[in-house]
Amino acid sequence: MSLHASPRALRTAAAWWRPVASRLDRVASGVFILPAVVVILAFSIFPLLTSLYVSLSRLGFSQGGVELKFVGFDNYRKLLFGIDRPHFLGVAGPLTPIGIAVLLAIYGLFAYLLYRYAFGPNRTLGGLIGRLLATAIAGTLVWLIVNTILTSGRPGTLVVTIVYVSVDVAVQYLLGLGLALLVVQHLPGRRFFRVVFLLPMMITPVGVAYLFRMLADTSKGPLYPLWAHFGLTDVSWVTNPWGARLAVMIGDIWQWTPFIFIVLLAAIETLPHELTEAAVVDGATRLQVFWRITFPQILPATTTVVLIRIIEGFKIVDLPNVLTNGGPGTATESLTLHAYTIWRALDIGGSAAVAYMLLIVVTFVGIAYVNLFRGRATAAA
Amino acid sequence: MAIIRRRRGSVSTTTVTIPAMTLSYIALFAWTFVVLFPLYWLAITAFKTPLDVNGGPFCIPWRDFQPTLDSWHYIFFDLREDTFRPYLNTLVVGLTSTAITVLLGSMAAYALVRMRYRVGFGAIGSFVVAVAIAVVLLIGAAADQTGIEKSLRASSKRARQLSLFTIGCSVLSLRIRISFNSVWRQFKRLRRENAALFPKIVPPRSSNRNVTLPLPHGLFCTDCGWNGDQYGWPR
Repeated sequence: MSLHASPRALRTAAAWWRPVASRLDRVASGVFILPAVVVILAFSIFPLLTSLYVSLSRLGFSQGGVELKFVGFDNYRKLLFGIDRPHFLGVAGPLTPIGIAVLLAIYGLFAYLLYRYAFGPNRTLGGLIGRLLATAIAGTLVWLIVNTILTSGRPGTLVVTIVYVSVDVAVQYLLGLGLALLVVQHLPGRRFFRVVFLLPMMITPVGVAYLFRMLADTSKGPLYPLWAHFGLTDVSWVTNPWGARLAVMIGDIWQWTPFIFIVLLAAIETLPHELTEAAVVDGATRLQVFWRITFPQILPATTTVVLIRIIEGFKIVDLPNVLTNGGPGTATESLTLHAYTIWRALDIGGSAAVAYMLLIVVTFVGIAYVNLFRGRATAAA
Repeated sequence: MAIIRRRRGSVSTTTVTIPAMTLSYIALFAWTFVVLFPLYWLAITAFKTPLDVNGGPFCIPWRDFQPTLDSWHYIFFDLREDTFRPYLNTLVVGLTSTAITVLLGSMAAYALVRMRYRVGFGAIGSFVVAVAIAVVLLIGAAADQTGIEKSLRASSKRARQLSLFTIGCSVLSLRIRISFNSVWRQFKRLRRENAALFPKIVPPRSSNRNVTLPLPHGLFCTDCGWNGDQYGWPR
């Protein structure tokens, strides 16, 4: 059967199709973007507003059911100044000389950075206001951290979460970068290492938590011979606040180092060889090649992956929940676990308030990070 | 130079010397052990009885303990449905959400790169209406869940207040934008004419920036913070 159409039929078809195509072109922009917008509205804006309303309410029992009573900012007041303050912000102790020195050093650094920006050539009014605001918030957080960690006080869930994020992301980045630099070499068997290193990322965090719970057991765990050698079999390191936090951090580092490793490996592998070869010919050492060529070129990938890990790190919940159940006391509770525990106690409003505080902290850290580091990193690359 | 060898006149940066290779392998195998040992422990635990798990550190199968398939039998035959249902749930949720995310995300990404969008009155109006509807739905759902008439009445009142507040904020932001745009146009015209208007107040880089719409911009930032997206953050 012949598939050739007559010129007249083709002209008719084209005449019919032209307005349809034109209309499709006009509506294409909406058709492409609208599904995502609707999904964001339904699954981001709607829950955001829901939780905002719930954070301003209190769940009360009444005849025939429960009711949400609007209480304004009571839940936030309770967290920041009221009965939940020791749980959320911690308990400050008297400042030690080390604490004072650390505070002075950090505040001095902040002041220097502000001064440099304020009298630098690239200053803008918006930039200055933003930096002043960021410095004020960061200064408050630093004060809180120093007063609860470097004293006889007790850190709250906010500080514990910040410690988790800072330590985890730093160690994960260093390990991930180191492993990526090792695997990128043309070594026999590197494909094996690449696959093996990705395995922890494929296990569910709850599984990782149970796994590290077994590993942390000093009397029945696989590391028993090691603990026995040092006479530590009767010591449960997850009953010590910092030991328990360390266990959580080790689990998180074990699981999420592969993520940074694979992103940085991909970034390093796509780098052009010409620059490295030219540097080598010019007599650059291995360290110089890394600092002057490789590192600046992977900075955009670095900043992005660190940003992702920071945001994800703030939401840590599985490991402290399963591994230590937030204990001893509330020593290993993260902000998300804090929200979960008070949600289980039916304080729905308080739980939503904690979630909103987490959102505020993550947004602040993210904005500060992007403004201070990412722009410069991209420019440097 | 450790990483370079000259071969037939060309430069290779990929060849590794023996000491460097040895050190690299030591580090790689060390991390391999760190990765694999917990997994090995997980694997052998799956072949232990509860007695073996709680009886002490038994590391090597057939020497320290007798491997058994009891645990596997328990989850696949005794629990059966309670095992397969979560597996199926995970499979369905994982595949479906990935497919939808990739489809919608790629469409939106393509559109944002290839097409030009302007936030017009229609878009802002739709946004405001959508937010208002979301608020009303939210309060309605909350009231519905409580099942209390009093709560419903109070919530409906709250819904009206919140909707009005949202619409008010949006209209206000719209007015701010219109005012800003007008001022901005005049300012740009004056700059074109080299007029010295507030030369010290206006930041030098701001001529490349658009005046942002307060409400959508704020919500966009909030949403970006919520989702870990960076593009909405103001610079």
